[in-house]
Amino acid sequence: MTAGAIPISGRAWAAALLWGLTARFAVLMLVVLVIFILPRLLPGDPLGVMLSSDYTQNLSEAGLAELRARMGLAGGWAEQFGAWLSDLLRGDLGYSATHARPVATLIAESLPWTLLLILGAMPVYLVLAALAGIGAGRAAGGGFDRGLTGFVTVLASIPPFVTAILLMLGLAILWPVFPAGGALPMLPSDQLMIRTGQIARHVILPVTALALHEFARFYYLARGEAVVLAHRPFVMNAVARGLPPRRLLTEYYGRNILPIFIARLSDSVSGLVSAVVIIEIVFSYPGIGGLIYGAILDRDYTLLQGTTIAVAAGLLALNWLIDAAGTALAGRG
Amino acid sequence: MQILRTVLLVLATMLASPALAQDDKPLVITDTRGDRGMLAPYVHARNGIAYLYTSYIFDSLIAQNSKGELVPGLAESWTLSEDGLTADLELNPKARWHDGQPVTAQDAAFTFSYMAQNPYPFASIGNIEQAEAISDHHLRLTLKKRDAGLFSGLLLALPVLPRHIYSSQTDPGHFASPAAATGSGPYQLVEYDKAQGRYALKANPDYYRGQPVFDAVMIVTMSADAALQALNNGEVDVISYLPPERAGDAEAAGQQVVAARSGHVVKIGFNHEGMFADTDMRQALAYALDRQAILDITSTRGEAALADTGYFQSGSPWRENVADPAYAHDPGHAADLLEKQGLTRGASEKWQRDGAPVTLRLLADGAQARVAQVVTDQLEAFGFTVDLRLMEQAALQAVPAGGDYDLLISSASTTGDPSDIASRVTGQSWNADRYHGDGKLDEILQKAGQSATPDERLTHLHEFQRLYARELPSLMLLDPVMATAHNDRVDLSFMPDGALIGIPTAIDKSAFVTE
Repeated sequence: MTAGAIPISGRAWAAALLWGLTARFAVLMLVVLVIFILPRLLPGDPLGVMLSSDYTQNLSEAGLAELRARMGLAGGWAEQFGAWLSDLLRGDLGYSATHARPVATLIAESLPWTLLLILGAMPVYLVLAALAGIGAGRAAGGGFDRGLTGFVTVLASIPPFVTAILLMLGLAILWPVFPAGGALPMLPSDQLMIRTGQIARHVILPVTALALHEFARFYYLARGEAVVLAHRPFVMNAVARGLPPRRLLTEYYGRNILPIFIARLSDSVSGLVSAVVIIEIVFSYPGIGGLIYGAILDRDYTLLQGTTIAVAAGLLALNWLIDAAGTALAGRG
Repeated sequence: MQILRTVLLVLATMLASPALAQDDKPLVITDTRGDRGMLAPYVHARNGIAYLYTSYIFDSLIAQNSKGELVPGLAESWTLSEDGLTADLELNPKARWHDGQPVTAQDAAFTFSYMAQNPYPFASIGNIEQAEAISDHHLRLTLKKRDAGLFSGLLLALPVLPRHIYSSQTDPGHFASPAAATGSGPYQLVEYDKAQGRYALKANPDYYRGQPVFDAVMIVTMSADAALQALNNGEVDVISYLPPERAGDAEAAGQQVVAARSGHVVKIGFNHEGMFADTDMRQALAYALDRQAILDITSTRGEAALADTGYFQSGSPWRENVADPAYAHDPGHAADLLEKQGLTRGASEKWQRDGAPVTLRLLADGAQARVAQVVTDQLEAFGFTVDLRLMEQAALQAVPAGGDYDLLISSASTTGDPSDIASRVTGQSWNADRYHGDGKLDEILQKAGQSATPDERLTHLHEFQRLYARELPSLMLLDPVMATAHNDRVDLSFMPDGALIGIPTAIDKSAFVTE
């Protein structure tokens, strides 16, 4: 449909995919190394933090050494790294002593909540940004465009935690229409329908905060593309023919913006994940962000390592898939 | 693959039912902090509240009544030999584990040997030479040396473990399945939702000390605001820790509030290897500060009381009921003491030593930011230059004794059986006093620990109190007040010296069992 995309053969495509996979694996290995070293450079000792309560008794040196060994903290860094890496290669993310649970279980328990936020926010901001961006871009310079673009520019300059706090203040505390935190009420219903409603009520504010954070980026993208498309002959021709606005929107603007959105998604996902971490902390949402935050405060190295690697691996895999999809779409021409 | 399976499982259970039947009307307690870990000795979070919740499920050999006095727990009676080295305990034959098995002296003896292999941070059994089951219900403990805190300290604190469950566990830190929470206490754990920080407990119907007061107890996570609203709506019954400044709100709504000094003091610790090695310097600082003003500025709505300087806080049964030296604000006296130490006042009234200005490096736990700021202002007004650094706890912990600081503001517990005081005074932990002085304090504490009679122990502790207030290993500033709001379904009160291991709480186990 559009001109300019270079057709790619099936073989070249496969090679590009393979190269992408290799590169991403190398990045993951780098993450593994860095996330092992960084927490150990923080002041504070995991066992010390764990036993920091005033009520803990003085354990004997042997007792402390025993606990240290069980937390995987015996020996030097090289020894710890070796032990951890060999577990990792067997697919074992380790055991969190502070939570008394395998790291994999902890991740599995919080991941659904984080995914709920991300997958809840994505369609909201993608669809709204596309509609608003096209609306503004096809009549660039008009009143709608100027008003909206101004508003979005202000919005884009607010960091996500501020948006989250403002939303919470406005809609959960000053005018309490939504719950201020958590994923479920304290005494959740045991009826499926009511329970789903309760989850939905709790998810609205964090999803809104997240969607607002990403909205600006895609709004600019859609607007910029729409400005260009509006002056392209095939669009002008279609407008002149009196094509129904809906068809114009989906088939002329929408289809052309889709590959660009997908390409941009792949590099926006990492930003999305860092935003979700902060939003989860603000709303005390039981997702992976809170887990990471707690792991830093507790100096829970194993948990911090495990969650970071899981998130990094997930991101890289997603990024690879989106790239592949983008290449395929572009290749189709 | 395993992650994926668990994700799917959790997704499925996210929508499934966890709640208790509504007609049970459990006693609902709120906790602001949430998840405290699985309620079993080796896997609960390592803090006082997690330990407290676990004590609902696991009984110790000795228990407390609501006044904090020792009463029979799993042990019906106990005696101590003349030399203080042999304790004989008779276990209650009616006691059962939650799975129906009898609790025996073998279980108790097993607990000691198991904890020797697998250290449990809330009970130190280093002084136990041997624990043996003479018969099914007769436990004999042999001590390495006399311990005045054996009953009120160790045996009150130590949860007895079921041998038939724990003997096969080589690493109890990894044992967090529901079976790990098989105790002999008044309540059984029914449900633990980690993500929501929610616990459902039900009464142990066969409890050896009689039917527990409530059929079911729930602990849920809620912010103070939400909890107050829920208390007024009748959705919750107890707000375990209500910010004291909100007490008025709860009372105005017709709820009951109990409050007490926590004994969890905010204090200034000194670097005893630096410029505050000398008692005169510490006393000078005490006189330079206006503790009453610190209290008035940081506690405008009854959040704290002025702390006693002799370690023990008002209300403690270990404290001699006399006024400790108050170190009332006296800048003139402080200046005299400093000048005796060779400090001089420079041109701009700034303190100098050998012509160089004196800068005090003040570290503080972020939670004490307000107190730290007032202290800084007062010291600067007195002529010191103050370099204030607020740090998170893990980072403070990494600052060694004798490290890069002069003063350190932290909060620390002073409650619980005194057998632990030595570690809080001479210990190396960041919020311990890290103080040895001439060794006299330590010696007094040793004697207190070796006392043959309670009266003798008290005499030593009172001497400790006097000496502490004079030598100032740390300067006690404030004693924060803790409050609990509840409706009339329960009758709650704070124990004078904290519950069990010294936890300042009104929801200790004694409130939920019939006495």
